[in-house]
Amino acid sequence: MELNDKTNEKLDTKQEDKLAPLRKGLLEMAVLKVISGKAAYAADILERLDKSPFKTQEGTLYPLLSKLRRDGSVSYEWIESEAGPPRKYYALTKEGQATLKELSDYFKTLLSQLNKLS
Amino acid sequence: MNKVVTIHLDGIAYQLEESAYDTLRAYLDKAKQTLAQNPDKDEILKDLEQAIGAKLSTYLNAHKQVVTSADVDTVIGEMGPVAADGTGPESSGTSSDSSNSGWSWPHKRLYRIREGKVIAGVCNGLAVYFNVDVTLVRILFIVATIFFHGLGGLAYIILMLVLPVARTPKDYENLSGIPPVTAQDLVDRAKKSVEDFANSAEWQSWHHSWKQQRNAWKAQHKAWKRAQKQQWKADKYAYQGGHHSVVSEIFGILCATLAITFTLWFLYGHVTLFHDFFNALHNAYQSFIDGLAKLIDSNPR
Repeated sequence: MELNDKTNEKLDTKQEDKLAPLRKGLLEMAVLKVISGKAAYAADILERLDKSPFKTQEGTLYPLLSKLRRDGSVSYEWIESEAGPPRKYYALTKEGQATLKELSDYFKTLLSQLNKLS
Repeated sequence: MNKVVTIHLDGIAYQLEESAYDTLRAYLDKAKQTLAQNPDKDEILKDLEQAIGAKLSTYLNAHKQVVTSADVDTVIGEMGPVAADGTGPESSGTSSDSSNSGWSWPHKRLYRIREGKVIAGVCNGLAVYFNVDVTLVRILFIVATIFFHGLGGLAYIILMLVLPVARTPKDYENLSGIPPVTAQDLVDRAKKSVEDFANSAEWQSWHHSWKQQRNAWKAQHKAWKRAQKQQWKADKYAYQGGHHSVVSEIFGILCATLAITFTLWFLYGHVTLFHDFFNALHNAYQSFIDGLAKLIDSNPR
């Protein structure tokens, strides 16, 4: 997150420190969600996330995608692009769909339980 | 005119300014290190290279065929630090501290930093290594020289001879334990860490008088430098460019020689061991000369 105002930097950093781990924990779910609709390649995924709070960068996304692939949640196939080299299009596997559902359900449970606490 | 380095990223060739190449190299090396434990390391690196290539291409056209340092900086900024497994240090605020377990720094190494040096850059290197203001290090050296029998001077000379000069971004990284940037950034960073101390009132009043003194010195030094420069310009055999570095190199050697002489002289006067050593050396030399003389005497022709 960019912080423009120097005077607010300390405060914002403090808040940022609390919020960032939350987003980080949900990033995996966000990525699964993005490719659950339609197969997408890395730049696609980044663009979609860009407009969300889950904005991330190649340096994070590529290792994450490779981890998801190892977990068996996603798979990719090479598809020729009209401009430039072929691209890896990532899609959810059956297993990935189950994982996503599990994660979303759990997240919903967490939210409702959280609401009950007050 | 700048040197250009040609590289290929995922099969496509790019021409980079040398400094741009150094930066990119450092980024990819760092990535390699971070992913060392990752079973898909090679594949991820290839993906990263491809993404970097695609981004670099957008900066190139028929009229601009070389990737500049600024281009690479921007691209690397967009790529972001490479996380170990996608759950690593991403955007966790400003906590790029060593506490981040996803990053493993190499052991720090000492270098000399030529930028902003006074003699040979030893103090600069030490300052960055220990993350303190370089002025403090210099004062320590001077104090050590004056109060401990020239120890500071001796240590400086040894360090000057032993330490390599930091040249590549990799060197700077090893030196400071933080990845990016230029030497000046590192020096500034070290300066910043003593800023808190600099804000205390006691220090500030002292600092004020010191500043005045320093400005006077600076003016003196400037005048001296100007005179030197003019002299160099007048000299038609002078090198093109690099006047300053030659002058300061000579100055450094002069200082070093003075310090060595002073140190040895002091040690000779105050430490019995050194005294005996030099006397023994002298005796050996004397007997060698005597022997030689005898040899010549006994063999006329």
